Amino acid sequence: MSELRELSPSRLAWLRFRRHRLAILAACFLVVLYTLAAFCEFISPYTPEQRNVRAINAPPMDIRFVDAQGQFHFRPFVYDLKLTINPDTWMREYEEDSSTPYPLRFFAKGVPYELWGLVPAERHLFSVDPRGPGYIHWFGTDSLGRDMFSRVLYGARVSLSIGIVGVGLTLFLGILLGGFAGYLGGIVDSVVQRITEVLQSIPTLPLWMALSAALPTAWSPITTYFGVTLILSLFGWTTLARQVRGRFLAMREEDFVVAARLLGANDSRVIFRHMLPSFSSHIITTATLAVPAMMLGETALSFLGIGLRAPVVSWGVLLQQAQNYQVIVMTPWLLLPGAFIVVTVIAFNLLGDGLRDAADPYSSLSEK
Amino acid sequence: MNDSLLSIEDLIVEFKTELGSVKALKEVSFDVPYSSITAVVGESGSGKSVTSNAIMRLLPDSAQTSGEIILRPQGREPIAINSLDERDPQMQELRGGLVSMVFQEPMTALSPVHRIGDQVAEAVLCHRKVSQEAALAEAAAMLEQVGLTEVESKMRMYPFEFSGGMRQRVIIAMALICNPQLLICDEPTTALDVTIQAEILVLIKSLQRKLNNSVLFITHDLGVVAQIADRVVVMYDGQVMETGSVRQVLKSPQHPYTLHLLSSMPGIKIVEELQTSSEGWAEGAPMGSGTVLGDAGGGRQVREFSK
Amino acid sequence: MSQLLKVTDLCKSFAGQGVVKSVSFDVNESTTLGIVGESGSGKTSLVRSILRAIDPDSGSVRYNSREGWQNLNELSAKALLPLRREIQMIFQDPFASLNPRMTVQAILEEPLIIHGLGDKSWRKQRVAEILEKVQLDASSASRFPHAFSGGQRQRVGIARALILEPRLVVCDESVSALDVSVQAQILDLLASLQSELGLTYLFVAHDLRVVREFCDDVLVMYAGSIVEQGPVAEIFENPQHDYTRLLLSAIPSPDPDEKLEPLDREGLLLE
Repeated sequence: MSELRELSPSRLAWLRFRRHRLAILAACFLVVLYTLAAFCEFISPYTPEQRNVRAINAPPMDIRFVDAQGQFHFRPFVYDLKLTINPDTWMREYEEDSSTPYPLRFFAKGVPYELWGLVPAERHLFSVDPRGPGYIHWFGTDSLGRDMFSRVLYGARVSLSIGIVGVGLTLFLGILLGGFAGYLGGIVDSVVQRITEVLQSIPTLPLWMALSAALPTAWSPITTYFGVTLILSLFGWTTLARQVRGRFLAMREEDFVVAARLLGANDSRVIFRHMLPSFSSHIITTATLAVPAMMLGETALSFLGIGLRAPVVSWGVLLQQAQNYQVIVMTPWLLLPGAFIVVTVIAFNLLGDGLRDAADPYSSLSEK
Repeated sequence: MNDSLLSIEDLIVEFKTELGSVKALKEVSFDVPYSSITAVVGESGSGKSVTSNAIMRLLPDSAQTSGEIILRPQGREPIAINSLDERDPQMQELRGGLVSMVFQEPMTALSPVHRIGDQVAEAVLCHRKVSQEAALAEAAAMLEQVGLTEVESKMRMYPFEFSGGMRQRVIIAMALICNPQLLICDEPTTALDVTIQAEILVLIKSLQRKLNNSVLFITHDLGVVAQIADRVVVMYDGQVMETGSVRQVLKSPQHPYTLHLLSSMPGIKIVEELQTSSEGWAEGAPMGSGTVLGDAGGGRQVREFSK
Repeated sequence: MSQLLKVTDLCKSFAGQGVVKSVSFDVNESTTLGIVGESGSGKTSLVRSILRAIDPDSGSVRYNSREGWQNLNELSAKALLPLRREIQMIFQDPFASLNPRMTVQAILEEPLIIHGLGDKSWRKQRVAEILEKVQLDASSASRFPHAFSGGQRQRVGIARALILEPRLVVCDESVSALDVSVQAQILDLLASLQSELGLTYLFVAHDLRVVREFCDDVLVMYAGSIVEQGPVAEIFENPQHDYTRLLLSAIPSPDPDEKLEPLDREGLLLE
């Protein structure tokens, strides 16, 4: 136990966090997901708008190492899809044609793109030679023949970043207003409290809808993106502000804060040296748990068609295609963005739980 | 043949942690005789509360215990508390029935949303099949015994209307209402003012004499020990340093740690030659002394130490 | 012996309830005044009013500073700042009074930074000096509070109070959370620091045994008022007020032959 005594509080928090296997797993998953989203132009084999008329509503393709003859290949490949029309139902049916394999190429030149809209490039992580007839749709295609894998990745960039940017705005508003209310008290406190009460009493969804409907359709995708983020965080800060205020009120009476005041420390020193660091871990936890709410808000608005709109691709926008029963039966792979949302939300919640336990400076390491 | 109500023999409690295990108790042995008050005294980390929690089987799952805790209730077969199964019906009988406990904090031990009378009556109903009226009548009688006046009206009040001392009286009433053979008091007066403490100490002692049960009284204050106990167990670092009657231990301490505790008490001046032998027992000092608890005659045991 | 503090008619109430009712007393330099009373007696509110941690309603707290007499109760927060160097406090709870996220070096250096004293190397040297003074190892400076035992933390708290070289130190139950043997060590330390530095202590406590051993004068409070004050020997040997007598009779003696008697609260009617 004695070696524990030598460690700094943040190191101790890390030790506590490390015990949560699920939280670690969730953190790794999120890191991978965010990396994929950050480099989505490079990772995806196509651009999200690129159409493949030979594969409309094509099912996900299997990436193979072993061919029909049972022979193993180091270079993975996919089989061509053969389109047939079912004479009874008049539906398109795809069947693998094991006579024409298309080998995958790695880091090869393919469809040209601009990384982050800035750096022109044309290499992709994996692709099938675009000069030939082959193609690869790992997650299948939609009704316009667009590659779902590429679209999910591009959507991840928007959906995941809206969570972070939105929570960042929320935090800024929440800490600023909650902090003022808690530290100054009196009239400032009352005013902030009344504003949060009013905002919290308004049903969010109708208000979001009203505000989103007011966003001009002529706005560029990027402006709409920030408009939607702003709308989401404008109503998200109230909960955080209340928590920050409560913490401030409680901490004002803590002995070590009183001690600092009695030493003659001024307000800003008391706040920034003593109070904020003491609940920064709490804020990080709250923020982590707030990201999924933000993402779900975006998804809900986009799903209803009043948030982000095509040509912007987000998971919510993608799910718009899956609004009817027919889609779910005939082309269930269009629901994949939904699966990503569920897993991401769960991962954020697990991570938040782990952080919350790790953040308590006095929770012992000996439990469990 | 042992004829004590409670015998603790070679009790070892070890807490498992991520960074190895910590021994909270290292072979603790002592007896609590019938109809007497035994005080366990020690500073923080001495293992006195771990001992009482082990008797009530209140230790967390991370604790590994070995050794024996044997309760010999009058008119019943002895119970080996340490090897009882958690689901054994004797367990329920034990907690609150044969053995009950009074904790340090009188603020949190009572439910804030129930009336005092109902809470005390509830303690009766948990262990015996009697009617609500009979239970309330018993509760009233018990509250009178612990020195509450105007019991009828107080029973309809809520805990927040009571002062700390009154709450502690109610808790003692709840602990005693099923007539336990052993009452464990874990620092019951530490959170109280000195005048209230004096009243509670007098109360616990007079009730013990009246009900003829046994009390295990855990405290860090040798003044409290002197006032309440018949026998004393001095603990340090998970071990028993010295046991004996209260006069033996406090009037002529044999172990240097006991002496150190006594000389640390404000307002106590110890003869100089004794004083020097108590030095070196500063905070966190290693044991550095013998491992054997030797018999010093007259029912008294002292751990060996190097002079 | 010169006077250091002169409190006159100090009053403080919360929500219309008087917790400090017109309290007056004087403190001489380099002496220790014990303030005893049970919970709710107003002793903590009294010292916090003197420190201006809370603002008293009325009365004066006149302090004989290095620049002459000043009424602390009339000074603005800004005018109070230089006086904060002279009046310091040691808290009760050695766990809560140290910021868990700061090293001992940062904790001890903070008072110097706030008052703009010295440069970095001087501050470091000063911290080392004060650590030695409270008998802590020099290597303690780089550690965090959780690495210390209760008694060691209290030493850090004492070091923080003393680093500005104060003249008046308020000890608010500073030893009551400690084990009895640690308590004895801390009291020894406080006593030796007093004789070395000529400190004046306001020593708030509920344990009369500690007050008897440690203080020169004592002030017994009950329900916001002083019921008795005087030299320790006088009050303990010859208490005049019923409440003081009650308090003294409630002290559990470590001698098993001196039994506690049931207390007599009758006739103790105080307003």
